[in-house]
Amino acid sequence: MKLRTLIPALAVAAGALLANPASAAPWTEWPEWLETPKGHGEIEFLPGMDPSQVDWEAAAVRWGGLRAQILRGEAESALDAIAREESVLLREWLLVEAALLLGERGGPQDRALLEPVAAVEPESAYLAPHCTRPHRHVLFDTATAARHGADQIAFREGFAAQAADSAQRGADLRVALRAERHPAKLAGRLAAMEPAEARMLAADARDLSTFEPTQLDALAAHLLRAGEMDALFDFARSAPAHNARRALDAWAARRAEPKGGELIELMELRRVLAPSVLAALRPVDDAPEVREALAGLLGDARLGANASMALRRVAPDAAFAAAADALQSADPARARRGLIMMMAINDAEAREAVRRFVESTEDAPALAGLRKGGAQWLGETR
Amino acid sequence: MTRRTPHLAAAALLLAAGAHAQVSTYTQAGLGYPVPVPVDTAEAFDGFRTYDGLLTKGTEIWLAHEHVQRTQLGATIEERPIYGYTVSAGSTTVDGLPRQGGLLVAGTLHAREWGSPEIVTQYLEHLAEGYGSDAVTTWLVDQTRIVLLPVINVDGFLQTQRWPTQQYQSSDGRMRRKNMRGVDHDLFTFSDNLLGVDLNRNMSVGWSGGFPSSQTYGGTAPFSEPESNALLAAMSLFEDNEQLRCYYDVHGAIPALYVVYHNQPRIDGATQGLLNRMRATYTARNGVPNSYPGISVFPNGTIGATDEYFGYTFEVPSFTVEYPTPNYRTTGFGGATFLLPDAQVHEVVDENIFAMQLGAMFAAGPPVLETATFWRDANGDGQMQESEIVHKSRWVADGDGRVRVDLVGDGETPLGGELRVVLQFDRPMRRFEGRGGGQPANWPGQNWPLQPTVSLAVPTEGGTATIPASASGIGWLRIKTASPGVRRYEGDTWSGVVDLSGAGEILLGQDAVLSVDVQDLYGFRLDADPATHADWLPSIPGRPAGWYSYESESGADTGLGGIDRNHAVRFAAPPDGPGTNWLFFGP
Repeated sequence: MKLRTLIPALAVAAGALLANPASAAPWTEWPEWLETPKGHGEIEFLPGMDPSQVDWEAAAVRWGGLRAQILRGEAESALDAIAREESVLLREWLLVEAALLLGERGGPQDRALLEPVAAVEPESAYLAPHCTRPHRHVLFDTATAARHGADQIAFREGFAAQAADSAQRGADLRVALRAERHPAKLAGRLAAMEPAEARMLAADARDLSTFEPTQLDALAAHLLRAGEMDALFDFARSAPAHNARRALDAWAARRAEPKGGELIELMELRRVLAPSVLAALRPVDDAPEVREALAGLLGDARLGANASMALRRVAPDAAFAAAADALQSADPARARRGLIMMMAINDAEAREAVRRFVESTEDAPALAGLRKGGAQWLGETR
Repeated sequence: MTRRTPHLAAAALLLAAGAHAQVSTYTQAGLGYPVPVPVDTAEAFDGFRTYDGLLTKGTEIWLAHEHVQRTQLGATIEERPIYGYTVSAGSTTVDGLPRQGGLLVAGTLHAREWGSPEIVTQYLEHLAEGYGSDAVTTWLVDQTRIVLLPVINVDGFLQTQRWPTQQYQSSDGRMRRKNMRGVDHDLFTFSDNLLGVDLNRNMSVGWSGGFPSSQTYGGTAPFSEPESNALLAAMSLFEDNEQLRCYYDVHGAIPALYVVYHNQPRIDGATQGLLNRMRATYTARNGVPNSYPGISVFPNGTIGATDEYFGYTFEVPSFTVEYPTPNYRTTGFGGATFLLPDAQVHEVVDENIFAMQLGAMFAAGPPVLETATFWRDANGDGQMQESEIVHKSRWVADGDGRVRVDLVGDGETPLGGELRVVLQFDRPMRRFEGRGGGQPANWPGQNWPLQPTVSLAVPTEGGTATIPASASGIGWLRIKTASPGVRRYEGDTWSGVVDLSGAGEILLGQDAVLSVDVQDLYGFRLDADPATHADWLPSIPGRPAGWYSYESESGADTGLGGIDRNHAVRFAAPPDGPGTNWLFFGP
């Protein structure tokens, strides 16, 4: 098997690493959460083995190509290409990446390709920046065992089982992304992701909401660059509003002409629309269907407040009519939204509309509280 | 930052005199994180809302929740309304007793401290939406009055949002601190950029004026600014001035809790207690020790700040909360003072909501053991049937205080065996957290014993035998519909067992006194004499401010509470034949 040509190179690299640690420079960007066998911050690298010297963005792009090759069923040729990589460090990283992918997606035959990974020395295994914590532990434990002549089979089985857990894989990717705070590296890694993975990340609102804004911006920008608009809007639905807004602003800025209707269409209104997306709407998005859609959302418990604000921002001339219409509604939630809009508009016409609402004799107990609030507001603004 | 910064004033003057008027721009590269910009949304998120978004949310809460009222307390220099929100349910009494105290929270006196309106508005949202679903919030809204002013310096806040990425000499644009007195909206007309009045120097206590170009200029006179008067007007939202029991003024950006001390032991002790609890809660929520270090304020060092005014005028615990910015939890970014990163908004809001709830708990006053029920599980099913209740006594309102009413039920029991006890308090004494039904827990950061210390002092031939009651797998209850179940709130009831089998020969006709010692979520011990209603009182000659009618078990009005020994049982000889053979009544 051609892959076996890797083993001598790895052994040389690992041997060199172990033999001469003193001549290395520390890598200051080592993830804080990573517990190394030597203790945090104590890992040293030989010249040529320092991860900070690697162009990870280019490496990530390269991995994207190799990954596609493996997924097309051309694993051996991809591994051959990896074996020809001159940088030992990069070669090891690509190998671990390939092993992860094969372990996850491949059959027994593919898994056999993983065997050489067992020869990776512990420290080398830790060098793979894309290799997430659980995998690192597996690699470390097993590689240590292998070095002492212990059971490699257990490693292969354990590794394959772990890598085969796609849910775990997704979680690990997010953990890895969380740990990566260097914007360029993060962008590179995102570029190497499959669209499906990007979409998966975008849809994972709970995890994303705890990411740093820089990380979320990188993800949003990546989705935008890749033209993954559905994923972007999924992201906008789940991520903090400012990240979605920045991405959508960037998209809107590139528009040659107003495309609010297209925006609405893309968002598949009512199904995926989110407060954050509504906050991103701008006057350039004004269109009849946008106005209609926003007016229709005024009574919505989740979206109503932002729909009303978006309407006032996107189409101020339509806001009063929509508010007046909502104020006539027997639905308290919709009437309340109309009243709040009138209070925000707060010109003579709006005050008159509130006065008429307050003085209405229509018997609607559910609206009594709103009438009382409207009367109080009129008194305060007189 | 809110206080005691003479260097800022000096710097401002130097910069103005030097005529090096410059507008600088914040960048992500310079900050190390995205420059926060307001987003036009009404919904809270991991970032900052526009004023329109905050006001829309406040209006919605007012109109959608019966227990929230909004009142215009005044108008700014530019004639924008300043609103106060009152959160309080029901009538002015709770179970016929005088309503407990109030909490006042002031927000956004300083325009550039964008975390402040988010904290206060989200606290309002928390109180509005948690009522009826969250036991602690429901209790506090039922039994206190909480007044919130999310944005007082509306004009200044809008000025900072007009220029979210640009500032002038730390004085205007994004860095405007003061109000807009004498200031236009244009950042590039430099002559007025240093003007305005510091609303946290415009109060009467310690007022000193200063130079108009100073960052801490106190105005031409105390209360010269309409915004300051709106804050004063917030007192009208309480039933009377004496209802106020705690004041918070929310600022940022140098982490601190300014604490107003009076050199009087009762109020200073209470204030110190609240300070310690808040700091513990902050640490529990954010994981950072000493994230809000306490800084003492004394009567001889006042500067015209609002915490001093409310603290010294109304004699209540009074704090200025300075949330920390930026990146105080992590390292590696330079950041800029006052620019809380978007990513930290949620954390800062979260920890402050928990801390402010402590202020509301303080305002609620000490807990009372309202009802003690003794029953015997005759059929062994663990369910308390009416017929199994052998005694119940309850405190009920009586004028300004309470009177205990004893109810004797039927029961049949041999002397000895298991006697079950159900204790109902006037509030949730524990919260529940975790999955699988949840476990009783303290308020974050507090460390009170989770279970009460309950015992029955039984008179026997060999002297008094103190029999401890054990939770015996029951303890704090959550469910109202069960029997025994909670009275009003999840966690307001405790159920335990007294095993009398080892008590020896019990003497008949003598009181067996129940002792209950427990601290509530805040850490208040029980009011050992509920007949007199505990109250926070201002000072009069010979009586310093503090808690009163808050007695210990000895009856001394220590203001600290103690062990409740108001419920007792008395064993009677079994009658001939079936029927009641234990009689229980109070001492």
